[in-house]
Amino acid sequence: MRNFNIEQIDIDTDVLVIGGGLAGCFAAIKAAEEGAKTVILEKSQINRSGNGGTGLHRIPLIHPDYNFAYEEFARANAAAGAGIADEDVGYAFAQDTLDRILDLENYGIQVRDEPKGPFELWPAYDICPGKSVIWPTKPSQWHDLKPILANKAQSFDKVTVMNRVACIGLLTEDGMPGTRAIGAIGIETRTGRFIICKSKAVVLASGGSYRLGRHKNSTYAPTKFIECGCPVNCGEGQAMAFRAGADLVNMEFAKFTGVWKDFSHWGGGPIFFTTKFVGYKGEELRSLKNSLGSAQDFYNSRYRRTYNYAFASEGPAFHDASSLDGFPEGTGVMGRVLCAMQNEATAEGYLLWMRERGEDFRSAPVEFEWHPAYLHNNQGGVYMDKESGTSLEGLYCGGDVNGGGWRQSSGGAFVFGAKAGRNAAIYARNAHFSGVNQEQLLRELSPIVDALSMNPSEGYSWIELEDKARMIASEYGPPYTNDAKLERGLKHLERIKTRYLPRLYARNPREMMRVSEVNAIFTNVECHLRSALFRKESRHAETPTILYKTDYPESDNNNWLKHTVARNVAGEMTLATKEVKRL
Amino acid sequence: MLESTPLTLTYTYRGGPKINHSKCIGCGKCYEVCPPDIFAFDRISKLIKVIYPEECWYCGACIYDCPAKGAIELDLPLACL
Repeated sequence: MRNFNIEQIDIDTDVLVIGGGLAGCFAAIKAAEEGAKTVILEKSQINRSGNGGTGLHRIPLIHPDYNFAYEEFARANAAAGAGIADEDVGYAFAQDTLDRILDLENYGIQVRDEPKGPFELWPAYDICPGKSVIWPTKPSQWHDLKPILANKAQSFDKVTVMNRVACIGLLTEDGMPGTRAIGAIGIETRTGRFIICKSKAVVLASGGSYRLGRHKNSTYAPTKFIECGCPVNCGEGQAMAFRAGADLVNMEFAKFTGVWKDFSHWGGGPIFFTTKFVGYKGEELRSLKNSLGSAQDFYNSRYRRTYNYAFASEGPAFHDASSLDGFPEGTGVMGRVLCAMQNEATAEGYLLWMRERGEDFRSAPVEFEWHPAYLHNNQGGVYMDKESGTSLEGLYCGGDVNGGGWRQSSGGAFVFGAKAGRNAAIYARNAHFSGVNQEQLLRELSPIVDALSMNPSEGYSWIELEDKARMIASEYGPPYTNDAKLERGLKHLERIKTRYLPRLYARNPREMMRVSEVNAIFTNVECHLRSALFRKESRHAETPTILYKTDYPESDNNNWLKHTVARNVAGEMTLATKEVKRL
Repeated sequence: MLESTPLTLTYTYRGGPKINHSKCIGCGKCYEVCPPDIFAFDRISKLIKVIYPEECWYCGACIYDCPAKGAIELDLPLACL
């Protein structure tokens, strides 16, 4: 028999926070400040978990004194998301960024030279046009923000953190999808013990998914060397919310990023915003200097041209960083970006990579490629309203797991994490504990129980099944696709799901966690393909890296300027549309 | 309470953290913080091992939090080179 025991631990709390990243920490802090007893279930270890674990150096600040009136930002933000982003969410985001930065200052993060002095703003074209982010002033705090925030969350007596607990399913009233969220099931990833947590309100802060598409040379983790892309985040939150009956929106809109060839360093992403791409003859594909100040322009032209060039037989394509402003002294935009990349822990990796390949981005263009799909854009994910509520009563969300907005980055984790925590605590005051429905509990646990009883010599490992699903997402799904491809991809996925996924085996607690992850990846890939099939248009039509359908090459604003909604109706993934909220 | 069963690699994998055992003080901090949980730590012998090197995503948490500077270095797998 197996070398561990299945034990069960029952706990209860006012507010349950799933995930202790930037959003989860803020949620716990604000819930505790409202007097709620709060438990964080953290899949890794809270000091270094999530996307901001070791590298966070850009904090969005939207304020009329610096860049945008809130309304102006909300409209620009929705436009940057090709029209599909709730403007009230953008407005709520902009309204609170300064308050959360002031919170961070109180917690010990230094973000300006003088207390109460002016902020220095920098461009971040993936968030919004113009200058929209600030940086911690001390480079050491670029990688220490997370431990500082985690310590703050843990300083409250009301907050309990349970590390190495992966959430595998939400519990709902009477076990029915679409009813109130009443808790969650977790699994201790080092011991295999189950945690059954009953709560009055739930905050989902489990992050995006970096295991949706499949990078050609990396199975598990598609990205390397910090700045987001944490592979522990694999969309379990989206999948468990879906099973519980919450709406997922815009799951066809994944994010794609340029990365240096083979290095798949995603933190190099910011470089692409301010330097240029060249073809192998040295011709300029797109000067990003020309697109300063316009995120719309950035997405409209750069991706399209370079994507075509790199993948549609014209390549190889290069990223030219030789004209960087301010390198290497640490001044200017690029100085900042490069310094952020070249911190003490990762500098060795860069130097090693450049040395081994004989490349140096400071003196010659570096070959680049595109990174496969991942969920991180706040457009695709669990539908969230401006108060961090979801379509389920008692379920709040914040951070990368949320969908329906656009590119909130770390600021979204701060703003909507905080809102989720506060509003969940307020909701919990008048809410009650509900009994766990045993049928739902067994249903959620059954994939793990089945995997434990599968004989490995007759079964399939988590990584084989995960890779298969992610390959299908990359080969058949967006950015370039059409209905025939999507139908074919879904057919393959269904075949693997029915014939081989039930033969997934688990031999230890870690692999029990993998069962939940792999099932989540299958749900997310299916939702990604089905949503793309459902949408009969190209969106970001000038930017095929988002969704370009060769059978519907045009944008159809009359019929499709809407969210797509995927919902679990009696076990079936059904699709519908939802109006985008305008101011 | 038993810890995860180590993965047995059937080939050499160059990527991931490399432990310099002459500098390592055996505190287990890297095992504690590693987000994808790729280390194994024997609390009695104080021996740290990298048992899932392919799942390293090079976040650097082990290096940032290591009290013995230089005890951990990152190496790249061939696929990245």
